[in-house]
Amino acid sequence: MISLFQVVLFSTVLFAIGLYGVLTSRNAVRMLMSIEILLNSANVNFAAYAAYTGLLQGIVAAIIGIAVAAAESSIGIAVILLLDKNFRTVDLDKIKELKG
Amino acid sequence: MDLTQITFYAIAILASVSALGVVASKDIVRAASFLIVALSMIAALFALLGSLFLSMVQLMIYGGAVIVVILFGVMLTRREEPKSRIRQLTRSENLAYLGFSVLLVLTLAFLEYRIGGLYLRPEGIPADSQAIGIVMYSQYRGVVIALAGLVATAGVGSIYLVKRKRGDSS
Amino acid sequence: MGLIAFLESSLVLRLLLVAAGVFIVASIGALIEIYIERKFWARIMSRLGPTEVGRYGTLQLFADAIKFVGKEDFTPVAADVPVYTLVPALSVAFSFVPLLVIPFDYTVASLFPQRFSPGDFVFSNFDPSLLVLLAFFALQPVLVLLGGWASGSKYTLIGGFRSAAQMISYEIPLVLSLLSVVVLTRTLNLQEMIAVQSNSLPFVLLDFPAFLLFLVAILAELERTPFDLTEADEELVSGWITEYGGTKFLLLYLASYLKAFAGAAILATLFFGGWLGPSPVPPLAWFFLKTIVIFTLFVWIRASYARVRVDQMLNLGWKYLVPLSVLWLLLTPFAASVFLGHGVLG
Repeated sequence: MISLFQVVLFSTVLFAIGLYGVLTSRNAVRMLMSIEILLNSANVNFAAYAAYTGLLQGIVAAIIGIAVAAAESSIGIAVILLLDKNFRTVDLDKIKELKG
Repeated sequence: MDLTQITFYAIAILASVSALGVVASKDIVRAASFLIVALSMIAALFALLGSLFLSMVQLMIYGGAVIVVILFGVMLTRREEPKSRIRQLTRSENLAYLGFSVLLVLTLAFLEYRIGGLYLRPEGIPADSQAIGIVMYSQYRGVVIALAGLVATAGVGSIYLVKRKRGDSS
Repeated sequence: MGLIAFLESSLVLRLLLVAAGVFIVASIGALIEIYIERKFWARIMSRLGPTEVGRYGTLQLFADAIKFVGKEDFTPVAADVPVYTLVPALSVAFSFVPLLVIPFDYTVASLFPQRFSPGDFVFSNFDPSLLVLLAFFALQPVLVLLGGWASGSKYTLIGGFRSAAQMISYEIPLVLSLLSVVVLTRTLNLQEMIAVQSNSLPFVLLDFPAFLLFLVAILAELERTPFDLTEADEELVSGWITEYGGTKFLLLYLASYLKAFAGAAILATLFFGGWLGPSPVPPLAWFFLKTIVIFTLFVWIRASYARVRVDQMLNLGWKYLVPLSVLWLLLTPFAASVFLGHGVLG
């Protein structure tokens, strides 16, 4: 049997990896990918509690989280494509000033 | 150590290693491939926890849509000449962030340890799609409608953002 | 006997046995498909097709396979080797998983008397089996993009973009047309969908617009003509699979026919009743017959229609099929209440 603590610890580790990725990414797309890892860690947590209590609200919350992440990633990539067009790079260290 | 435990450890280790690959890999397309592996491992975890519905939704949406969008983004943007990522990751500020993340995990693990004796139901969640639908459309009806509005806005918005405007030279 | 006792002791082992059986059935299906593709298409074009190898050319595929396997297994210099090598293998793997959940034959459940009741096809009688199918079709664009990029050539990259755009565009009508079938059956369980059809007309009649929409969408997902614009030889050589040769090409070729088998099998299951049919013929044979006839329809379409251009393809998908499938999904509850006597929820 799997203990709840193990799954929650796993989601914490994923969260930390995602957070580390967001903080240390120089490439904007890598940062977006790390954000997806963050969102997934939250979903794992929801699913773990749903499996523990048997309540379906956890699953519904995870589904809602997945949908929100999909919407946010499409806007994120649109913004990154615009960044590439306007600054000619997606290196976040070089994009330091708001133009105009 | 029964089969479910072994499977869980395998999934957790693979997913964590792949997530580290996303963060630490030098080539950005390799990082996207690691992300696919990580997301698939999480889908496997959802199936292990008993909800195949959630597992397939995860695969369909993340693996079918989000990853495709990210890969398009990766392949259409300029990449810097891949300098060593390990070099970059050992800069002082990044080491500080690493220390912070490790500290965060340890702190949260200490706090979570109290739930140590609780076990997941071996039979999993009674998660057939009809039951999930009933919860979603009765208790969370407002949220689902708002979510539909959000996804529609995000879709139209992202198309509008990248549309070529008249008089655009690039 | 010792072997039966050994098998009975382990559920996992028996499930593996069923999976191996599905593998064999699907491979035979793919072989028959490839033969029909060549012969039937040839006949429509007033040619003969393969005639030399084997009687009436039946063993031609084996000769081709030996030829492909015997070629040099090369890797382009600019390729990203791990991804490049994994894409054909993953493509075959992702094409097999949907086949596991399609109900082939219900006599298999008698191998598992404690666990499954008679009338079950082992892997398909669980709740979101339709979603498993859709999920693995939704995963195809990723492989196409990675395959096109990992070959290291800008032409395969563009070919990968086009193929991925095509697959994504037609996923929406694919899912929505299947949803209209789900409205009629009120379940995501593929086996129960067949059961519903045993009490009423097959859904090709009740849900004919969904059948047409799904047919067009699945042809686009499978990259078959008229939607095989990524293989337009003068433009992109072979699209994203250009740089794959020898065994890798054989794996990709096999994967495309397995997907075609899965697509035809979904059509047979959801619209024509799957394994249902009068009794002297066994259910597996009915299933096979329906799937192969539908695949023959695919080949017929291939031989008869010209290839669409990429802008025509996108136009058709987004401006016509998506609104039509949404409209039909909204109208389906009326069909359900008229023909099947129930609304969406009741």
